[in-house]
Amino acid sequence: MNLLLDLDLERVLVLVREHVGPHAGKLGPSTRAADVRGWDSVAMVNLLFALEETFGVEFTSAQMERANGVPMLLKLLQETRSA
Amino acid sequence: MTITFPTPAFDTHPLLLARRAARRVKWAVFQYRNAANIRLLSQFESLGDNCEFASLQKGFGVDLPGMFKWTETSVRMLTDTLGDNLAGGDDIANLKLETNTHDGEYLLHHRLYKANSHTFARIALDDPDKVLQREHRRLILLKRKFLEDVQAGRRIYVFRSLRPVSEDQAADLHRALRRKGPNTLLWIRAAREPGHVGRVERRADGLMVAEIDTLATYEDGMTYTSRHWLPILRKARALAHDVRVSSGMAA
Repeated sequence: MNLLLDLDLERVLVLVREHVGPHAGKLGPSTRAADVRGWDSVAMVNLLFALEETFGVEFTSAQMERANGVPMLLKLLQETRSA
Repeated sequence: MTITFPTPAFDTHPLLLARRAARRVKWAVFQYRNAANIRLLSQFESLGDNCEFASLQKGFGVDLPGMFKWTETSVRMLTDTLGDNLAGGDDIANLKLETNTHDGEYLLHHRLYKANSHTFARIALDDPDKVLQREHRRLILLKRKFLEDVQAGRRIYVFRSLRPVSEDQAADLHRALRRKGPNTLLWIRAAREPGHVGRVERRADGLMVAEIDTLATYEDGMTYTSRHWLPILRKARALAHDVRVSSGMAA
């Protein structure tokens, strides 16, 4: 279970870096969007789309609005899988 | 083991302690007000015209994904596309990047909407094919989100217009929104008389009209200048809430 979460975290961080851009700086499991330069709603939508493609999930509107950083993205992935 | 350091005498001076306490209270009041503003602004979604309302929200830290928030829409375009369930809104054949812009940003031109949107991508730095692909993907997600939201009636939609919009046109847009779900439209227009500034009126179930002193121009849409925005939104929220309570729709 932990291995699965670690793998998710790794893939999420790769996608965050790809979509937020080179200014993202140091990212980790507790990084919040508000603390990262360039991680605005435009980057978030691109990231959510990439997460849907990569993990084969679909987020609801309410879930998209809750996405505010790495911890929440991991939580949303878990939610969509268990739904 | 805890190490304690002796506190210098000046740190315990009553005046200094009082000043610190006052600063803490001031900060707490600021945080409280800011949190209230964030809650308020999160209940609204921009239908465009220009980016003023999205900029206002972003200025207060509210930056939710929105289909039209960065788009120069018109009331007619919105009414038509809502009637068609946003058909073609996410079709890449309708999208084109404008590169002849004054500030070096790619603008996304939507052929069907006859409207431009910000991409926030730089012509000097970003590959146009990648930008177009990215914008297309974004629209797919935003269209799905928008349709889900209008069916649920989750937001108060804000349409501000510097261009003249007639009462009939606003009513048409309101009807188009209501056909999708229990939506509320807040139409913001320039005040016709100075005494009307800040006024919010309910015109129909789910339609409000507000008058404001100044609206950002299309050239200067990434700004907001009026101090009346927040009071107007508070009044609109209260009006919308009263209607929801009386019709048993409140959460």
